[in-house]
Amino acid sequence: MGDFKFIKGNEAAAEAAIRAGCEGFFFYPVTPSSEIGEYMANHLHRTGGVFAQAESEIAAVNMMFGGAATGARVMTGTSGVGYSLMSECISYMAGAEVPAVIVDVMRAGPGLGSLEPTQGDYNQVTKASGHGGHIIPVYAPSNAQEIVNFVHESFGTAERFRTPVVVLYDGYTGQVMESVEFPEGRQEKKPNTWSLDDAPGRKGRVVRSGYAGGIGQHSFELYAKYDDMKEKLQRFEEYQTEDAEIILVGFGIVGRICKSVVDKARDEGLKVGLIRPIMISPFPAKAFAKYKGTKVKFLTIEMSYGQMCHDVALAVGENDNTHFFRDKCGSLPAMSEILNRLRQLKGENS
Amino acid sequence: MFEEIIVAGAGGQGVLVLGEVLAIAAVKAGNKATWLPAYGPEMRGGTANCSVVLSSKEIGSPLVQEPSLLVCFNQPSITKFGPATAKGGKIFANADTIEEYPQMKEGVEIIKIKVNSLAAALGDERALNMVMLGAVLKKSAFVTLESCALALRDIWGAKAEELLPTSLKAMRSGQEAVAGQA
Repeated sequence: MGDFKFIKGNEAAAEAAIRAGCEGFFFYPVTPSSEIGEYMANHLHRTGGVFAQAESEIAAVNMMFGGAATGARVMTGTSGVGYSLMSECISYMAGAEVPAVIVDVMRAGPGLGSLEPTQGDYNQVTKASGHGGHIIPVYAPSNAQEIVNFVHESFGTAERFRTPVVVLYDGYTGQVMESVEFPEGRQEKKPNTWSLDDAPGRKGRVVRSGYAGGIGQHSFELYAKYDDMKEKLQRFEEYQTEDAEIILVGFGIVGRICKSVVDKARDEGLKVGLIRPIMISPFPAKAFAKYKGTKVKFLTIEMSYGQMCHDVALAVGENDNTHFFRDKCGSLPAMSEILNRLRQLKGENS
Repeated sequence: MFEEIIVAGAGGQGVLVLGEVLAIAAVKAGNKATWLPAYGPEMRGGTANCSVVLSSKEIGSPLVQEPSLLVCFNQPSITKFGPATAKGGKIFANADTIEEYPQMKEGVEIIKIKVNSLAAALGDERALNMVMLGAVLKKSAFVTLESCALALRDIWGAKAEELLPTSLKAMRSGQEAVAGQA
């Protein structure tokens, strides 16, 4: 029997991190991620971890880099506005190959924007976490249970691939209370050969992202790692896709809404399925490969101007079969409107 | 079971707690539940509401747009959410503060209850949300008073011993008050 709690998504993220073995949490508060910091401030001491509220996001992420370089299990939480500020350091961490977990709880709009939920950070997090062309794994949980599972797992992924890992979800998913079950035990931590300690009886080590003497070899090693991540980290859920004529694509909270839409559509005889990317970087192109050259239509639903839809088009092969639907920013897409769009697409089929 | 609930009122009327009790009570009875507070740049002194979805199966959207059950503590709440309530749905309205009823959809049943007055009569006006909860329990079969009491113990922790007796009294008062209504 696991340990059940009825808890907010953000609190679930914090509790899962503590249970996974997080040793340092460095934070600057920003809505809608603040409950993560609040919870950590109250609970991280339980396991002897260090909580620091920094003077800015830039300070928080650099403290995290420092902690990571010593081999400590570290994490921060923020929203898109803070993620922008952290991007420089995330690039340095990717270059220096240190593991860390970053939870980004998305809020609406460019600039200061507003507090409502959105999925507008997709491109930023999957493709532009700073300069230099690194690739980092990004989990996209759709409910509180997945937040627990993926935050827990992300510490292991970060250490296995020596990389920062992002867990990305929107403000609603962070605010919804649901019942969750926590996994038993920590993420296993293996001894490493790179982190900084007091070098007992051996030569000191260097953690660096600078390769002023020439970066060729380092780049090849990074590229090999990205190939490995692409091979091993493509994760997705398929629902009712076997005979589907139209397949919905949505990540995070939109994914769970689309699952209900599939049930409703099936009730009225529409052959609809769902592909829900669980990791959005590396993008699960494998899920779409088999539909190349078929007549199956794809309808990507996003709470943004449209970002993941381009990855879908690339994976399926852009043609007349890829479509996109968005609702007004700052609210969840209404199931009735997605259904209308599906009926319309079905009509174009016949 | 599948119920989509909105609980709405003014900040401080216990709107969010009432929703949380329903959600946790449903989970205690073996169901799935989501609780989502109205989220945006409005907090202190303004309106408050939450979406609660109770279901025997996996829940899709946690945001309720067309409630099957609406609980309103004040006039702005029913003006805003009353017309959105689903056909054949139920509305619990605080008759102490609500005077105007907007046009509703077909078959919507309105249950009126003076929760401020009933709570005051029990000697604790803050218990108005628990009076309302009693009314909801009486008129809907999806959670029991016993599971609500368990939920309140979870929410209040050590303070439950002190607070529960008044709450239980308030719930029973709410149950009795609507017992006669069709």
